[in-house]
Amino acid sequence: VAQLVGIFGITHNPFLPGLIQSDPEDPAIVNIVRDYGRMRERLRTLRPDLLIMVASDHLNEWFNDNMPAFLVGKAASANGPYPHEERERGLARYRARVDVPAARSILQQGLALGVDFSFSDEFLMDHAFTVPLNFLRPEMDLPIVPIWTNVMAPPLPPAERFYAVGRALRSIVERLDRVERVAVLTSGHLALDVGGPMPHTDSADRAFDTRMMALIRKGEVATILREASYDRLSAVGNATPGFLNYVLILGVANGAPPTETGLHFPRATAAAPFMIWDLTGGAA
Amino acid sequence: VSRYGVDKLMRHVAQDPNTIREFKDHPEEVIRAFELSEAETRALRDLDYVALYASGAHPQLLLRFIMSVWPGDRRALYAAYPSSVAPHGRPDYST
Repeated sequence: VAQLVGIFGITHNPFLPGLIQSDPEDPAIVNIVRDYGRMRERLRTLRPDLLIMVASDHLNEWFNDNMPAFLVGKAASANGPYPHEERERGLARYRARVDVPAARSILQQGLALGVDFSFSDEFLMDHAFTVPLNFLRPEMDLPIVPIWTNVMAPPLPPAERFYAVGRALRSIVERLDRVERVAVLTSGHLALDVGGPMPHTDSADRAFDTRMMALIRKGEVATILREASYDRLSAVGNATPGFLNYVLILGVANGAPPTETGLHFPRATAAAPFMIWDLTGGAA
Repeated sequence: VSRYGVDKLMRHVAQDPNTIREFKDHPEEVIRAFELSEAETRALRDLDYVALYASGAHPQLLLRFIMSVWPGDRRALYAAYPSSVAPHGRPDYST
């Protein structure tokens, strides 16, 4: 059976790849580049043979004509980003092979464990997947299983459900056969407002960012679940519910605190958090 | 009102250069296919993003849409957008 070797949480801010080029002197950008390099190296040394990536979609692939809460992608390959994202943001492409048997197992075991995943055999991944994947695995050599969450089109599943799906995913991973070492990567947000009243050039709420990262660092799950209601999250930025993906990976970690975290505030965009659970030391 | 229809149109238009051009050239023809109210039609045709925001258009789709079809200085629009919609707070944008 498989071993979960590591869990990674990162932002998918589509401005970051450009800012790393255009504002490399910003001390926060310097730190982000250093930390992402360390994450990439950690992922490499954990030697996963499967990467499960949990991320959202910005109404590119899924829309309100048929909106899944949680969806497993089981097409043979996963490509992205969307053409308009490439064109307007200059985002780099990503192409990964999907481990289809693993995707099927996750789907079937999820259904057996009370997680009614939707599934799809045809999709593109938007920047929520491709930006982190390009940062952490630019070689594009690792098979993935993409799992989408709805953090964009209310009503969303509540934080407790994101956490429970994460817990279920942990059980599922540890029952996978044919793979030995599995890593989970998610991308999300701290306080972020897109198309709302907050300026786009800063965190929408630095106090929220700092507090939530402190709670994650201490593994204070009960407090996080209480403070991550839809109303509270969306009050500090309409895209802040993207935080729920971090709640999900807290569930994958069975509520244990990360082994490493970081939080940086670039001068031209939203906060860039990261979190790593290295599970090879028996920490979680 | 049809928040869903407005969101659907904005998503459709912003997806590629052809649909963006189509909307810029013949907004009313594009809008007609979506069965929207008079107020919605007017706000879309006039690129009145503040009215669209206030009536519950999805904020992320709205910003993507308006940036894609704006005929003037897009940097200036981007800078002015947050304070322009701010008086309307955070309208419910569920469909």
